[in-house]
Amino acid sequence: MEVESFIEVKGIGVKYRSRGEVVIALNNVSLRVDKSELFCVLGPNGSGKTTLLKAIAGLVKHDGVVLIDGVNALRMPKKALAKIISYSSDISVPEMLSLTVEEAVLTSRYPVSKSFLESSEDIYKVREVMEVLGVLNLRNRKLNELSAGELKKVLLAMALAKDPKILLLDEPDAHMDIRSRVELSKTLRTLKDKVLTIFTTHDVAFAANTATKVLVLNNGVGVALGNVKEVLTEEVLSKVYGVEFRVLNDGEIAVPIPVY
Amino acid sequence: MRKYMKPLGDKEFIRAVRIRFAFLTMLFSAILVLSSYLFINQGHFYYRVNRALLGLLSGFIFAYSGSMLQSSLRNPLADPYLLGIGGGALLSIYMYYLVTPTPSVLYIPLAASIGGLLALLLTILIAEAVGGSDVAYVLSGIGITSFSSGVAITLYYFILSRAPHTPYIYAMLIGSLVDATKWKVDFLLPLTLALVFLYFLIAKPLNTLIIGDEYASQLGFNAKYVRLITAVVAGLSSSIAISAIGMISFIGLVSPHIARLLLRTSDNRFIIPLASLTGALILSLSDIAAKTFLSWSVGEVPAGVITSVFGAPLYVVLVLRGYKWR
Repeated sequence: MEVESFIEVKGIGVKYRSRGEVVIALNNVSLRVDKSELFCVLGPNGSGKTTLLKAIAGLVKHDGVVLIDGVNALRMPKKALAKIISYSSDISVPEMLSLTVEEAVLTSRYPVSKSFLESSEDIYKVREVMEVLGVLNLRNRKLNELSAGELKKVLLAMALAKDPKILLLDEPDAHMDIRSRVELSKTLRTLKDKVLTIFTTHDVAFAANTATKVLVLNNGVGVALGNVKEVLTEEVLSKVYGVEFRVLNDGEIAVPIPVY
Repeated sequence: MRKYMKPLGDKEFIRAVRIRFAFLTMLFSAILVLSSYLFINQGHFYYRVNRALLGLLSGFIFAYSGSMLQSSLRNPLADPYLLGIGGGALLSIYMYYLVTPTPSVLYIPLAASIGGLLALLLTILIAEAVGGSDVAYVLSGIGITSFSSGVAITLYYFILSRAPHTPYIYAMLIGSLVDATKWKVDFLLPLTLALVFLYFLIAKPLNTLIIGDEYASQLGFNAKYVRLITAVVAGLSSSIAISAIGMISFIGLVSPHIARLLLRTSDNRFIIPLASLTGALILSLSDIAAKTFLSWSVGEVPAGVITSVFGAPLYVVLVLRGYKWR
């Protein structure tokens, strides 16, 4: 029987130096994500959401431990970690050097494919992922010619093509129109049994509709952690964002909206 | 699985042809170079073979360095000459000529490498200090190049006053293949073979570096490490090529762009071989033009003159059209 995969983060802290001063980006944050959970990290700008994802992916130096299926991620070789974790954030592609969409998604297969050139299996996998995400028709376009929303979908394909166990998405819904957001939310929910996902967002409604569990960060400190309905309440959100929130509840879902 | 495999139509077919094309051209040129090297001896066409090899090999090295630098610095304007390597290498070669009356062929490439790497380091430091954009790199490179070539030209007059018969030292200012001696080929041939070997290790990491440092890191490639390797290798190898033939401009810049235009991709697994071959061809053809072009009136001109005259307008077109030429 397959062991249920999970990820456990214990007491993560990230510090960096800026002009001689020590800035604490994250302070003693802990969380646990089990399989079939969609985990969302919420918080205002500069609250440490991106830093948390980077720390989990092993891209920044940090205190504390990240356990993947109970194994300390720091002890794992980089190549092994690269096979199971995908970290996806915004990219800026230089014109003139830009790869096509399909070539870019193929680069994501590098950790898992050993040969110098792609095997037919790599191409099959890449096209399958692109079809699921509805970007197969873009495959011969250059990355820098895509609209922001299209690029976001391609980035998700680039994160998924290597068949990771853990998917870390930094603002996957940014620059998307509402329909694309709804589609993205559906995609993430269908994926949740295959890959353990942690994502950040600025859109509280997107989080409430998509995630199963939420961590709210403020100034690098975890403010609230738990199921969506328990955490995304008027008090918590008003306190963290400093604006008034109302939760619309129709019995099925509870969606918080800011009051303008 | 068949569903995605079946239509080997237009694009897939072109891709398959491209792969074969890139590999066959590289293999073919390697066989050509190796066989001509093995069969030369002290016969009467000894000099001509040496000269042809020198052109092919240094063109290869400049273009290879250019493609590597463009991808790793994520800058379509990167080139060994424009980033100051040329000027720095030339300056240190002249300094070496100045301190010793009898230069040793071993130390000329060494001196060039030190100067070239220092100049590249300085260019990168200045460019990063002012923001690290494409243009910052070019401007800081131009600054370093003009400064070091200015000093180099001054040193040139000192060398001449001391030893008026130093052979072909003037030719290094613009780059010429006229001084084709065997020791130069002996240096460049193993270097080129090492670069061909490195290509198999570095092409895939470079592709991920184009997309971004974080993206490369989460795929298990250390972006800083890859960038350091490419900068050092490009700096060293083009400095050694410069110590053989002098400062040749624009080959490292133009060849990768020609390759990208021909193959319609930026994938370094295809670009590096074709760009290197293009560079080798451009320099060889320029040298042939340099030997014959003005032979009716003034005789031979340096090959660097030809690459500048034809390369500079191409460069201007590249900059002016905002790289939108495809």
